[in-house]
Amino acid sequence: MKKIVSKVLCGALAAFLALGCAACGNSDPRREGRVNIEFWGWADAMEYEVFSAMVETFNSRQDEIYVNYTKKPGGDYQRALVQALGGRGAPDIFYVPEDELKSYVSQDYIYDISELVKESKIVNLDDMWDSLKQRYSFDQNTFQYSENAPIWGLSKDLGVSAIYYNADAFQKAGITVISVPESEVGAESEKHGFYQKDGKAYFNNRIAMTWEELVEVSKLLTRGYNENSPTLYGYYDERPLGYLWSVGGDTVRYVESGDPAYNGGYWEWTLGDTEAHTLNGKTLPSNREAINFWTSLSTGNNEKYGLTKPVSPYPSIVSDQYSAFTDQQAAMLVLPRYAVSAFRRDCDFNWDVAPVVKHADGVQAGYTTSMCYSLSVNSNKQKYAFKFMEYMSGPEGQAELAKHGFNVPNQISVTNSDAFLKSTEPPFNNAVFAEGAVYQRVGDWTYLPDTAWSDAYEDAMNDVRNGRKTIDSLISDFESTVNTYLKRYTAKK
Amino acid sequence: MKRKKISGALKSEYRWGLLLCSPPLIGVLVFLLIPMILSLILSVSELHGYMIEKMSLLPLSNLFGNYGYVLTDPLFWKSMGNTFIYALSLPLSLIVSLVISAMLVSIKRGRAFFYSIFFIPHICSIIALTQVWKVLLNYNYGIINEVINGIFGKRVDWLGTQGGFMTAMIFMSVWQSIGFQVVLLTSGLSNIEKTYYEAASLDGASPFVCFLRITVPQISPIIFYLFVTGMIGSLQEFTRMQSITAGGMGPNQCAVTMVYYLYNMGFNYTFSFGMGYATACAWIIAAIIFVVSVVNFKYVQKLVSYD
Repeated sequence: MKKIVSKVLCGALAAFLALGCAACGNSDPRREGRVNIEFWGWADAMEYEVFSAMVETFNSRQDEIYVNYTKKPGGDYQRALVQALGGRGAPDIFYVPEDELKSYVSQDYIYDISELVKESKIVNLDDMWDSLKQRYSFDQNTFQYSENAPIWGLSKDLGVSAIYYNADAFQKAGITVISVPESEVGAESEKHGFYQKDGKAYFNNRIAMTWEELVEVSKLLTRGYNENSPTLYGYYDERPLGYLWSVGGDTVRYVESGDPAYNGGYWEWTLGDTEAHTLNGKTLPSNREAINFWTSLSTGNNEKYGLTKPVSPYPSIVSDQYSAFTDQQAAMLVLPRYAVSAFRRDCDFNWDVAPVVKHADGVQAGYTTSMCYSLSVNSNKQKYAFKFMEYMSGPEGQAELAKHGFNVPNQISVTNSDAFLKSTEPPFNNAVFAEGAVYQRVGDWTYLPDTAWSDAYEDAMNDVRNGRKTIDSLISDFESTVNTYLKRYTAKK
Repeated sequence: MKRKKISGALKSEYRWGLLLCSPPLIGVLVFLLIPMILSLILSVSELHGYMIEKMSLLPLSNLFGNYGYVLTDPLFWKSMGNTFIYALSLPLSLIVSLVISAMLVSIKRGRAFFYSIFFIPHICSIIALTQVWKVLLNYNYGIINEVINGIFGKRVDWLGTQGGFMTAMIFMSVWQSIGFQVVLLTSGLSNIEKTYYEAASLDGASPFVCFLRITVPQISPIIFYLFVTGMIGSLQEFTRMQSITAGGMGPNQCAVTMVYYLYNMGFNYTFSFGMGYATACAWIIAAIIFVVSVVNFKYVQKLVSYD
């Protein structure tokens, strides 16, 4: 009896183990006789479903190429990709975050697709947003964009920033929301993102607010100023770039130099510059004043409550920003368009979008995010893999993605079509994203091949925002280190 | 002088001895010596990325440039300070473990239950534990702040200020390490001869004096072992800091320990720094740990009683 039982158990165990092997590999019969392309990316559940459907569409409509889509965990993606690219088993085509592309190019992982793009009948660079072309086309020695620079990837999409606002909170705070483009506003006094007239407050979600208007409207929505405010805070914006760029400043500048220690020049940290900018004959705040304005939104200029919620220690965790809006702590939140699908799922109040703020005399400015599809330099199927890239990055793929509330399409024509502009779900004011795609810029995290220079001081910026440190002491503490790190990027080896 | 002839049996024994020693010797060669030599070469080279064929030696005039840069980087010195502050958790945990062990020894029933309770944090994944503590320490909704707020009417920004952050990290380290220390110390305490205490009490010694003059010297070898190994571990602290800051540097860069600094330079900043720089940093850290260990053996060991 014992022998029979042990034989049955062994047989069951062997069958169980064999079952595990049955799951190995993709057994789709369409792989036979086709060029097999491995495609890696990360995605949440909804995006995975949409991308799987698009891959299936591509595989079904032709019999030359079979694309196998593998979803990798987002948190581990970079490590897994770099290990694969450095060894064997690298995918043919993969996502590359914009802040990693220059690093991968410097390590010779990425294939130059310039020739493939030239020959392509689907990819039309003239119909692509300028900021995308500049992001993925650069010289591999200087990392600077030029017209004839190699192309290292085709953009997946464009994450244009906007102010997400809680329409219900605005209504409860007595603010009337209107949606009229500036060109159609009659009275000069009403050509503002926020204004008061005859004792009533108006918010026009088609016109960018100035810094002063932002403070005014945020006070109505911050409980420390207005005890009847439906939200704790009026505003939340993690990044200072828009404020800097609006006055003509930036976080770094390139200084050309004949110093033999450098390859033509070096980068310099300009965040703390105190020289005022000039634009169209008007004097604008310096970089330091612009940053001071942004940080003062949190500290509230020595008021008990700021207009922005206290900064969490690690604000790069996007979920903290999301919950600030979905939990109705903050009435307004600045984020790129990639937040739309999460807000559609998690917001149980009415919301929409408005343009990011600008200095009254400055230019309209904001940051965009993006990532691209790139080809592995070790792949021997680049021409075939590129056909899939063309599909995903071309008009058809972009229109399909636009329908599902993802980022702004990389094609100008698709962005300006009803496929993107018209929506049955919020946000309805998608013109804000289409307009933003024209003037918004690539973030400073892509300027250089890695972020050693900005990581050195970014966490300390939270102390400034929480009132524990001044911007002056931050600049004096970190100026030497940041500039030393910046010089390493162009130092002769 | 005639050479002594080695018998056939002895020759065979030598051969067998060599054969049986060879696997660990090959292991030491392949996994220790050769990598150490390679890393020494890498520390005086440049390598941006992970493809070893792209490695290039630094020019002779600047052969130790990587070492020089590490030693002149303010962030490296900051990381060293952070590491030694974090290492204060070691003496604290030893004191707490000693007190707990002294209490456990006097328990006759249920000792295994308490062993298990204290040992559980030691066997759990650091990543999982730091994520749990991140929630507990949250300024707005963490239970620790809810209790503090209920009693004192104030909240503590544990993860947002340098003082709060390091206090929290030291506490977490103590909490996680006492399990293993308690097990070792309790076994040491159990083996102390009762006659010493009897003789001491006959001479009128108080319990505190007995603890100081009998208990501590008797278990001093165990304390010394825990101190040396704990110090080496503390000086290499990385996982907890990286996990709780999600890759950030912490308030005022206080989360950057020496190994975390090395990791960032080698794996995150591959272009501006890279593997050559990180390897030089690793050798400097190894030298620091070596010096600390030598100091421990030379001076701290004098306090150990081997009677």
